[in-house]
Amino acid sequence: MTNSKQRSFGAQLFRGYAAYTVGFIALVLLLALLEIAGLERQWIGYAFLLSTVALYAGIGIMCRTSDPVEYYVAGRRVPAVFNGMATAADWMSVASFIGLAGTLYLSGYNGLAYILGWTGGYVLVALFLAPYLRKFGGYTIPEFLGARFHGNSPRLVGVMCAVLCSFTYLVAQIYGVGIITTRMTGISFELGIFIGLGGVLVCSFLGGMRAVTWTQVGQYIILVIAYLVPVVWLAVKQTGDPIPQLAASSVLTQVIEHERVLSRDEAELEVRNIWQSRADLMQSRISKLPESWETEKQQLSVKLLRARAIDAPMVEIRSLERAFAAYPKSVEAARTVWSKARDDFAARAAPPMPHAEPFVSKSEESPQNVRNNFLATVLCLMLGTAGLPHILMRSLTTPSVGHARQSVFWSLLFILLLYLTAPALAILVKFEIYNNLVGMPFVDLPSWVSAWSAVDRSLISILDLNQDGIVQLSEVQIGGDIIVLAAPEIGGLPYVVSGLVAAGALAAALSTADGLLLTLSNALSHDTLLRGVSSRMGGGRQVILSKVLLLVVAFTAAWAATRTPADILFLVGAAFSFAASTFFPVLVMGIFWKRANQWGATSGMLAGLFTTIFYMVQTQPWLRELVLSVPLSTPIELWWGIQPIAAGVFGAPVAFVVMIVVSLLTPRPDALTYQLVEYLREPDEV
Amino acid sequence: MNAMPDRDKTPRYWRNNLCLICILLAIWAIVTFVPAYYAESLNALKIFGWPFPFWVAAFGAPTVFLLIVGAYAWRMEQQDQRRRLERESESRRDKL
Repeated sequence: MTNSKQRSFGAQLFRGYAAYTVGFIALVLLLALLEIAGLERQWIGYAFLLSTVALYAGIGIMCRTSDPVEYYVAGRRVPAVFNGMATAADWMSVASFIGLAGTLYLSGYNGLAYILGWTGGYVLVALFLAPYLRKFGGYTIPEFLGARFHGNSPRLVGVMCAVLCSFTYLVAQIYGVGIITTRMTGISFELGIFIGLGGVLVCSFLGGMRAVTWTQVGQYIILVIAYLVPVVWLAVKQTGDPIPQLAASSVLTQVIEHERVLSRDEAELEVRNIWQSRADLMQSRISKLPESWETEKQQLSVKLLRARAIDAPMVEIRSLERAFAAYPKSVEAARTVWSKARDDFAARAAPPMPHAEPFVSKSEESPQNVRNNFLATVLCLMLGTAGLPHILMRSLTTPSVGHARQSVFWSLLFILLLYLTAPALAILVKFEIYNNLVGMPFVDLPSWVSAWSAVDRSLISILDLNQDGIVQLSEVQIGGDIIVLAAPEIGGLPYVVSGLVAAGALAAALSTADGLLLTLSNALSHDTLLRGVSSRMGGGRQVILSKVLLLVVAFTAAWAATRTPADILFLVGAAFSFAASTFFPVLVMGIFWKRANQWGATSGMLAGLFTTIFYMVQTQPWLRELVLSVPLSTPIELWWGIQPIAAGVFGAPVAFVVMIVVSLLTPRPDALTYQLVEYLREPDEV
Repeated sequence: MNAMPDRDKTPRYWRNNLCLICILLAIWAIVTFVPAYYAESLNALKIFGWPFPFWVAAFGAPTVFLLIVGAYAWRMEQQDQRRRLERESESRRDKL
């Protein structure tokens, strides 16, 4: 495409998306008017859910295609700015949209590891990967591995790693779609997944990368509006300053002051002592195991019989019955359950965590250890970000190498719009909680507290533990997700903004799901044994094969999501470790070291992967129980105290070393490979 | 003339690129790891009303990352342009 054509295409896109943005704002205003006119909350939820999903499906239908270049890489004509928006939407999942501010609220400075890791990774993408992958100009990342290392084994290992990285991530997104639609409209979880999946499939099935790209741009616009509106409002309400970061800096000193006061407050101390005594009680039970399992059970049944005998109130009998039914079935189960209860109580007995103080630990962990874990997590997330195939794939859709570099810049800029706001939001909400919720009489609790705790007790629950009728901070149990979800209500905004936030979260989940689905199905259809079949097919048939696989992957992921996997957050985190220990080393070596050959690449990826998996299986209690059937309560031996979530910091160096050693021990690659690498290192023709 | 074969092995364009990558990567590493490593001792330092390590991790470092990516894209665009002209003149010389 010539330069002038490119420019007019860009201008056309700009006008199109400007109209789209205006239209969306008009929709929000219309719903706001209807809310004033008395439209019910549930209908606002339905309106947002259906109109946004229909919008995405509409873009998908408009962009339907069966041409391979369009289907796999959107025709390679997405200008850098729009590719940046699409990448940002692709990148920001439910975890970024809802989880990030919550993590920052709960863990203060320590939570900033995610901000550092998830933004710093883009430096690595820009410097080491994006321009060269674009210069190569294939359709998928495993295809690059196959061409660079001349063989099926690196390509197939690449497909395996892509599936490993992307599938759990996809399941988490679909799970998130189900949760959001349930909260937004009250429909069932399964139906929510079904509607969300419909939106994703219409888009990616009909138009592949082309439809997904243009939908993601639209989704980015919605999610950024949805994130910024409540935060700006909250900032204005609290300080009169519309810029959230400035508002946060002016309330931060008050937050710190509140923390100091609350950590010494009489009533707070009283509540914390009650928690501590509960924790001690659990500890004494644990230390008396196995006898205590029997005695506690007997005591509970005696209590229940007595309550029934004296005709105690029904509520009391019911709660005793429930406790009896939930009583641990064995001594080992009791040890697990009671240890968890002890830790939970002990955590609630701790004074409020100083928000801006680095490396505060809630347990007895030393600050040095917290710091080491912080740095390891940052590094692991950075390498993982730079290795995730669904992000790398986005650099293949730009018109030129120069655009691929610029696209990373725009991606990071658009991501920062949200990521630089999250720390401010966490502080603004914390200020609101300390200032307005703590010290309030229980009879005057704001309505959002009861509304959200009715949706899910783990989001927020308040219990008058010392029965003084006043809320103490130690009586408030907050789940991270509520920070974003309830921000509009905390700021006193109309319900329509809550619907907007939910629509934004849905956009974040759907856009990421779209990208992952495409990565998975393209890798499977383009780079596995099916390649033998599909290479004899015409382009159109190959696309049909991809589409069939897309449906299979989507339904498998939806099925997995309805089974509610055990620890979905850990699995998503694991995807970063896998990417860090496989794709990042092999791609960097493939581009920057000509001598790397297929044996080195294959063994390096496998070694990195196995090191990571080995460490996770050894150190993640439930995984260890599942794989090695070691009981949960057996103590864990960490390497240098690094938590399993950052396992990639061990896998990545192993992968690099194995790759170098094995490559040097085996024959050098042929002249063709040298030429390919030299070709990658030259600028492209304009 | 003696330098010719050497330069052919690693073209100047690629050497410049590697050099630029090293510089930017060093900035990246310093911004990421140094303030975080010394966070506890730097915490008394204030910047725009924020404790310094918190401000760096939340706002400063991500902004520097953005600048690094932007600088690399801008600088390489120039280098690409130069290399294209160089190649053009090379091919013209070959024809002669």
